[in-house]
Amino acid sequence: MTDFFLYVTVVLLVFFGLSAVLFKRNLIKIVIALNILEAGVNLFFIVLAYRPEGTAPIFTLAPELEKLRMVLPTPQALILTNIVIGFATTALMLVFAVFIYRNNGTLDIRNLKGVEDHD
Amino acid sequence: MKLASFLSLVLITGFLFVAINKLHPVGAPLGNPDVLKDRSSAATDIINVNTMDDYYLRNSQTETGSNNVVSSIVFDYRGFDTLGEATVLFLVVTSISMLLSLLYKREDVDDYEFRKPNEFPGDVSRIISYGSYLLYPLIITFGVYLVIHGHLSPGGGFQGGAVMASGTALLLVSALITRHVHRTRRIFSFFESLGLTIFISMGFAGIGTTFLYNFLANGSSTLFGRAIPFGPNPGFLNSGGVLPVLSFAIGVEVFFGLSIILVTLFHVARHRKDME
Repeated sequence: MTDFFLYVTVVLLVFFGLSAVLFKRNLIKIVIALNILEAGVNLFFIVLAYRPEGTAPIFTLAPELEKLRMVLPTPQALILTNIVIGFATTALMLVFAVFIYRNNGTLDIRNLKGVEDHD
Repeated sequence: MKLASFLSLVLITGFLFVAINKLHPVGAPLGNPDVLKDRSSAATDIINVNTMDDYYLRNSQTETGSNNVVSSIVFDYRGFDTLGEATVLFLVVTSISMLLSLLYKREDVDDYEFRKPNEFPGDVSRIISYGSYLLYPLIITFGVYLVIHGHLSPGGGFQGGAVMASGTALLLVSALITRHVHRTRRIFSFFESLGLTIFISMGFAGIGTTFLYNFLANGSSTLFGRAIPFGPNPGFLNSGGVLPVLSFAIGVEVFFGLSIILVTLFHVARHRKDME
């Protein structure tokens, strides 16, 4: 039953990230929310790969093979790439935020030029 | 509009909660947990292996010569994926550098002087200046260690490069940035391109079999050709085939790429502060 809550944590992280993306008005907060969402996805992969008593999939100075259990390696490799890409896209989004602030004088997405008020 | 946002949020979250029931319980992924114990004596064991991950765990050591299964996946089995990712990073660095260079003039930032710790400026405390001088060599050493031991211990090109780039960030926040760092942005971009070029060249070097084939591993007479038997071992630096080379290439690319991002962002922030 406690295992269930790991998946619930993933859904909650995605929920918080998504709700902030939808309802926050500040572009910086939206970037932070996307990072939280990404953390949820990363946690999901790691939870999928977990095995009880599993060590990291590295054979250097590992226990003997009879006792050795390892977690799944492929999700970890995917997370590894995702973290660097997350950094790069976050930097790019922040640069766009800089440009939007210079062009509009605000980071509020309601007050950007060319955006009509749909509320 | 707000109602639509709220409804989509509730729907997506609800679907995710429902989807939890269809997932396997935590700690019981597909495959045999004892795949390392139940094994045949064949060099490439596909008998007791049901899933892709178990195949990697069982055979990556004999196939790629790398103790670190994650590294062998990142740089060997899924090397093409990593090439795409390195390209994405390269693209992001290029676009950020191009966009932000519109925001300041080169001659405005050229007069930043190198500051020694005892000439600390008013806005940086002496603890930060001296501390960053002490920490910077250690950070670089740790990053280089992570890159070099990428095929033996936790680490690899991405992590090592990011750690080394955090050293650049430390220099920036402690205001020890030199005029040379700005002048050498061209050198930074040269080394970043060099990293990606080494990666692609190593891919083409193995094209006799396939692109990014690990032609140096397991018994070849080259530097990284040591054959590694299956099982725990103390770790040998001269194993792994093309893995250490690719790890080094990615480490160089990530370090210099992230450094370019940080230096460019710093110059924009500094320029704005000076304008006010």
